[in-house]
This record gives sequence, C-alpha cells and structure tokens, in this order.
Amino acid sequence: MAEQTDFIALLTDPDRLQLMLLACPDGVIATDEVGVIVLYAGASETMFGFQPVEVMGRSYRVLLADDYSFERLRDELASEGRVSNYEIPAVRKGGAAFSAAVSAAVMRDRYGGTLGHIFYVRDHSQVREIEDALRSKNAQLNHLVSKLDHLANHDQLTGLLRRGSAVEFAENVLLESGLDRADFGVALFDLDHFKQVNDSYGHLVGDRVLSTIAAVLRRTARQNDIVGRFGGEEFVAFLPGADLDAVSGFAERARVAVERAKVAISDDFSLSISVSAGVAAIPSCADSLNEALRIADDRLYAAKRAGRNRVVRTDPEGDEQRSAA
Amino acid sequence: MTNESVPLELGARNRLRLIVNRTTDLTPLKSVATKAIQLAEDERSAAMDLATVISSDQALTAKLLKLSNSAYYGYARRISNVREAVILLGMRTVRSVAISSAIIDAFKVPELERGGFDQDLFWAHSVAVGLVAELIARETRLTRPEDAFTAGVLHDVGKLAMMLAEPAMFGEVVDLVNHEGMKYRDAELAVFEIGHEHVGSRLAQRWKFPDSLVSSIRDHHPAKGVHAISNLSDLVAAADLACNREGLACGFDWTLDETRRSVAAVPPAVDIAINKVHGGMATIEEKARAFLLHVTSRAPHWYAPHHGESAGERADEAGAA
Repeated sequence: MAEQTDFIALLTDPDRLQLMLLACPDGVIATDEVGVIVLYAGASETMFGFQPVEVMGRSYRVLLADDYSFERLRDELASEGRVSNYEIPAVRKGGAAFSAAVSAAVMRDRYGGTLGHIFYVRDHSQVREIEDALRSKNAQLNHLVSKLDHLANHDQLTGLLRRGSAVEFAENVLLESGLDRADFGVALFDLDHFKQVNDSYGHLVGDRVLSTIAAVLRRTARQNDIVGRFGGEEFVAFLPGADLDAVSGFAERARVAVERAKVAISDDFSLSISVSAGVAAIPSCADSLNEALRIADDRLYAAKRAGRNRVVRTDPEGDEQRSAA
Repeated sequence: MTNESVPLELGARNRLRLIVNRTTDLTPLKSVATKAIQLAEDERSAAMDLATVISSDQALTAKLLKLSNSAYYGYARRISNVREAVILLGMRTVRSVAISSAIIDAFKVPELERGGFDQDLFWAHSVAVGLVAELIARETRLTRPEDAFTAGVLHDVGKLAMMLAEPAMFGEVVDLVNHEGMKYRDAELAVFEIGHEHVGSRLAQRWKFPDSLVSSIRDHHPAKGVHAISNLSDLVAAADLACNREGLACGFDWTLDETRRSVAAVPPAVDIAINKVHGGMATIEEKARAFLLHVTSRAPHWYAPHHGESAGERADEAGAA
C-alpha cells in the first residue's frame, strides 16, 4: 500500500512532475486545443535553442521547418489521434533545419473533447546522417557488385557472355517460357583454322579475329538472343522463339557476315576468316538444353568434316530421325 | 499381338500365365507409372501432363528431385520442382526415370528379400544395361536414348516375376547356378521350361508398355548372338552382353570370377559408345549405383570392387583374410 500512496503522491506533486519533465531526454511539448504551445519542457530548449518565453503562446508551427510539414503532422494527428516516430523536418532557432522523430497524441477529456496535444520530439539528425551515409555506401556497393558481376559473367576479350552464364541465361528463358515448350534455337559456331591463324600471324591477330566474330554474332542476333563465347574459338547463340528454320537462317546469315568481315592485318593486307556451325532446336530436335547443345555440337563436327565454312542442320549420315519427331 | 517368337508347350503357356497373373496381383503398378507410360510424348501438352502426374506422387517427386540434383546428372543449378526438372532435364528423361523408379518400387516386396539371388545386384545390372543401352542409342541414333534406358532397365524384369510367383522353383534355379555352375539361362529353362524374356514381355504387355519396349524385352536373348544393331531389341541385347562381359551380372556377383563372364562378341558400336564416356565402364557402374542410391533412398549392396588398382588390392586382402 505504501508504494501506491507514493505513486499517487508523486503524480499529485507539481514539483516532482516538473522535475520529471525536465529530466526527459526528449523534448516534451504540450499545446492547447488550437495548437498553441503551453508546455515546453524536457530537452526542448537544448534541441530547438528557443527559450521557453520565445515559444510559449505561439503555434507549434514555429518549431517545424515549413508549412507543408506542419500541415502534414496536424492532419495526421487529426485523423489518427496519434502518431509515433513520425520523421519530419524541424527547425532550430536561427533557421537551421534538422530531422526530428515526433511521437504525439491528442489529449481528450472524459467527454471526448480535445484538451490539446502532447508531443515528444527526438533529434533524429544523427540517425538520418548515418542512414544517408549507409544508403550512399550501399548504392556504391551495388554498383561495384554489378560491375564485378558483369566481369564474372562476360568474357573480357569479346565482351560476350561466358559459357556458364550463357547457359544459365538460356535456362532462365526456358524456365520462364513454361512447359508447353515454346521454340528455342541453339547454334554453335567454331572458327575455321584458328590454329593456323594463331601460328601464322600471332595471338594478337588471333584475338582480333575472335573479337570480330563476336561483333558479327552480336550484330546478327536480335535483342533477346543470348550470345556467348563457348570456349576457345567456339561461340554459342541461344535464340528464344526460333525453330530449326529460324535458327538455321540465323546461322547462315552469321556465316556469310563472317565471310565478308575481313580482319585487317596491315594497310594492304587483310585476312579472310570463316566459321562452321551446327544448329538444333527445342522441341523439334531435342527436349532439353543439354540435348540440344549435344546435337548442335555433333552437327558442328559434321560441318567441319564436310569441309568447313557451312551450317549443318541435320544429323550426320542424312539421319533425320531426331529432327523428324 | 503375338509375343512368343518360339511357340511354347501348353504346360509352359499355363505357367507363364500363372506367373504373370500372380505378379500383377502382388505388385500393383502405381498409377503414376501407368500414366507416364501412356503419355503421348509428341504432343505439346505432354510435358505439362507429365509434370502434373508426377507432382501428384510425393515420394516419386522427392526421388526425382534428389536424383536431379545429384552427381548423376551433374547439373550445376538447383532443380527445385518437377516442372523445372521436366524443362531442364527434358521430358523423356524425367519420364524414363519415373517409369524405372515406379517399377523398382513395385517389386520392393518382402517375399523377394531372400538370399541366393541378390535383388540389389539385379537392379545394378539392369540399370547398368539401361545406361549402356542409352549410350549405344546415342551412338547409333536408332532409338531415343531415354527409351533405350527404360528398355535396358526393364529387360530382365521377368526374373523378378518368376521369383515372386514361384519362389521354390526359383530357388532351384539359383541353386543350380550357384552350386552346379550352370548358366542362369540353362538353369531357368531346365526348371521353368520358359525363359524370363517371355515372362517379362508378357508383363510389359499387361502394363500396356509400347510395342517396341515389349519386343525388346522378348528378344533380348537372340539365339544367334548380336551381330549388328538394327533395332531396340539388338541394342538391349548388346548392352546386356557388354555388362555381363564386365562382370556386372544379374543377381550374382561375378565381377572377380572371370570364368563366368560372358565372352560373346558385341558389335563395335557398343565399345565405341562406352569408350566415349570419360572413365568408361567404371563411370557407368558408378552412375548406376548413384541412380539406385537416389531411387531407393539407400545405398545398394554392390559388386566387389574390380576397376583399377584398388580392386586388385582389395581382392588380395579378401584372399588373405
């Protein structure tokens, strides 16, 4: 019982209440029903810099940075009855704006009439600074990660996707397209006589030849096609939506374009290059990406054996069994 | 369709019917398998139907996903549902896994868990034959590799049916093989008067398997050996011979007993196909083991090690012990 008596004594003792308000680390501000400041206690003075006499009797608008913030807070309070940790631009004496976290409530009497408002204000500027700094660092980090990602996914020499990434992107497209098996073309290209180019003209020329082919393939492909460097002098193109005819047409256009693209070695000499290609399509030749790649590889090999610089779209030995089904 | 290439005696015909009837009573095939078998695979909706059918069976789905994410397929990305498996691994692959797994499941009956004839080795041989058949199909382009796998896995299924329906007679066969040194096939004909290929093909017919599969089971013991591969039956027969040659026998461990290995010649395409695999037959054996591990959810009892140096060492140890 003694404790309860102390508690009531505490609440009814104005001196103690005042001391409690002064000790509050947040700004404690009370207004009357029209928003005129009647209490300005706690950390208010150190936070805002105003003396009590300077703000008592004025609207709490004087503590906020602009009309918009004031109206926002006022309307929110009017409609919700309370706000909690509401971040709002406030202003110190002299006009320096800072970010404040405001919790506030409408005080009502027992009949529901408005007595006024009570605000608890916390200086949020440091938190805001840290948060802003974090955000900008995070943005930088994201940028770096995406750069790294690009480096990891792309071949440095040709700028094309690496093998693993190209296959992964192709799988993503297949997974998105669903089980009813939209057409999907696969073309594998291999530079003809690359070893001779390297041996006769050196690796720098070899690199330029590879870059040239990469550029041709990218130019020939559409926006949604996936073009990658598959290995040494091998390239792959995945063509979403392309059937065997379409992917064969693409490979043939690329083959002709490579044939026409001369690689200049000196002012008066340029090198002619060519590619062989094997093509396959889902679902007409294969029912999975791996199978389609395997078939395209077989056909690429057949193109090599048949004399290079050509596109093969059927299985060796004229066997049409796979493509017919 | 008549499925007997050789007309059978009346008594043998009755026994055949009896064995098949009893087996279908004792080993009801899951509806998933029946549906998967009957799927019209060239229709565009088939892939979706298959995914729906398999997804309805949780146990099968779990096995399929485990297998899909294992070294068996060596797939880099995680496959998390049947739909993804169908798209990434291909519908026919998923279908053949579903059928094989359902049949291995169907024969998981207590009556068969007895000594003499090792069921784990039975499936080890069957899956190895399936894998070799798949490789030969790739090489020769005679049939779809996935269909060859299914046919290989099921080629000896008649043996299990005989064991299940006539345990006493089957015990005699095993006895003759183990103790009298008879060849399995001779012992089987001596005791049952019918070959397991007839039982298997009749069973496959009952399960409504496609005709090519039924005849590949029926004809996998050609009287004159396999000289050329021109259809699924030759292909399975050749794969069977190749596995027996390596000692991966059906139900018996003859890996270390060279005298009992098959010496019949196989067409050159078989060895070309096997040698295209990195590691050859040892890799195929490992794959078969991985397949059974994931499909039966336990490590299968296996052949004595016999590839490379470690096999020799271990054999020596066994000899010394």
